Amino acid sequence: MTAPAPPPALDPIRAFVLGTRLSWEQGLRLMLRGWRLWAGLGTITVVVALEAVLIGGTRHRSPVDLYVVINGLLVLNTILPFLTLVSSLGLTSGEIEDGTFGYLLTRPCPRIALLVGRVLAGTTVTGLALAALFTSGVLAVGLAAGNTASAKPTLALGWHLAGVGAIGGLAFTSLYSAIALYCRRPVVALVVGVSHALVWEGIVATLPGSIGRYTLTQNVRALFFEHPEIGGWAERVLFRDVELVPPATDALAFLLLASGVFIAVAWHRFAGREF
Amino acid sequence: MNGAILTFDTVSKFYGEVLGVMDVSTTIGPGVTGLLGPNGAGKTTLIKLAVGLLHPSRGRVLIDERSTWRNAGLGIVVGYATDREALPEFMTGRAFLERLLRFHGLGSSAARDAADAALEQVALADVARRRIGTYSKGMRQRLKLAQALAHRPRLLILDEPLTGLDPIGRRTVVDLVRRLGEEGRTVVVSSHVLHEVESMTARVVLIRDGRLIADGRIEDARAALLDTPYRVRIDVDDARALAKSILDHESTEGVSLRATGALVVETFDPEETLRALTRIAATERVPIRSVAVEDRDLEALFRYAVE
Repeated sequence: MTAPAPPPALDPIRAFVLGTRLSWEQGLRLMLRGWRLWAGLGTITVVVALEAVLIGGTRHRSPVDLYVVINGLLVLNTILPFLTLVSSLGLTSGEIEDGTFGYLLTRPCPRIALLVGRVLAGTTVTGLALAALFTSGVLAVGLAAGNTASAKPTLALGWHLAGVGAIGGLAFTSLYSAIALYCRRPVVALVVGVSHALVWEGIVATLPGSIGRYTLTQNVRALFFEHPEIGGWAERVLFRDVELVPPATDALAFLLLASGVFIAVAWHRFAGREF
Repeated sequence: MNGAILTFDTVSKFYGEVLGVMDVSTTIGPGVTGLLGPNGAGKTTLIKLAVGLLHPSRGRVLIDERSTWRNAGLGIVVGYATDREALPEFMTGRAFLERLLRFHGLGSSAARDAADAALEQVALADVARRRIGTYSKGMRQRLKLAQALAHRPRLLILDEPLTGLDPIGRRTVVDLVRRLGEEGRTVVVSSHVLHEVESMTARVVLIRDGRLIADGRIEDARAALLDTPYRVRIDVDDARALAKSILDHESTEGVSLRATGALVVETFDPEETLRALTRIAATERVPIRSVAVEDRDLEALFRYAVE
């Protein structure tokens, strides 16, 4: 067999675009296989079953309300941070720890491209997982409540939630990737990440006053409430004092800015890190 | 194909207060160069400095006059096979190489062709479509070599590439490394198993405790140490009696007893000493269990250089 000619040098822009795309692809492959895939499917099954039991068992007159409570609050407040934490650790810290990332670091590809690709992979996985979760929730609502008429508006809500989840996923993934890169060992990153998810995003996000506005969770929630049906319901039932929830435009700006800052912080660490 | 020039310019690397390498200066050009030293000598540190995975604490590491640190563009010039075991177990060997080759700007088809060519070079074509998780240790070693050379780099840096290989795999890799050197590529091969390196090259860089001990051709390094005699080690029951007899022989420079009971004779003419030993054993009925000239391999060269 004749050996192929060596590949030509890449210009920096092409190397960045190509590296980002390939890193993203590899990240997706890494996440959508093995135990991670099964853990994700398991979580979706549990949440959908929970919805079915609650809606069917309580014979609630408005299944959409329960759907919002379960998917909007349980999923966005609790599952989103932990889902992104697991994916971020797997995509950065885990690969670095087991040594397979080294094969990419010696390619003609800037490190920033590898990092951005992995953050986007984490965001994509989060968006896909939430979309699957919310869409399957629609089925639970329709079937368990025996009210197929509610399925269509709930489907629209589902996609709204998935979009919010993807934006929130970007912010959380950027943050947890930065944490994963700053902590040398994955277990330390896991402890720091879990602490952050429980304390800052859990307790602080629900405190009265303005401090909660600096949490990702409350800004994700603000985007969630932007939907007229959810917002009206939330105002009535959950947040009498709607001042607690920042305006959606502010929340979107906050989340995108936070994502940029976290990626920059992660990049600062990753660019200078020795392997 | 012209090889790349790898330059270490008074390079030191510290891990906190721990010394990695200290004031290493050498230039490595086309052909095969062995990087030799015992475990913990600093070989992997030097290699990681060369491929830009570590930043030198002092000095410079250059490939073709360009710094290796934070210089992704050098990925096109350099192929690196790590000494670590890590490989993506769930992928096939072919898919693994294909994915890596696409980072070099190759399309799917070109990447597949290049992957197949590399796998054939390391005699893994038959198992190209098998999951890496099912590969033996020797196959994994050769796969690491394949990913290093698949994009046809001008500089290949191989960290302990013969570890875990069976004799056939070893032959394949040794022949391949020699051939790459003959093509004019620059190949750096690290090892602590010294005779392995001898089978691939005569040009060595000796390193110990992070310091460069010797640098050049094996024979040149040995010649530079000609004022140091060879050592002949003899395992014998009555070492003292034999020491007395051999000390009178004109080729003997000195004798010493080791804690193990072995007798060590220092000589500039080991062949003559061996003949004398045979005569003494026969005439004085001294039963000799084994005789070995310690200076016949790089181990001895290394020891001389250090001492």
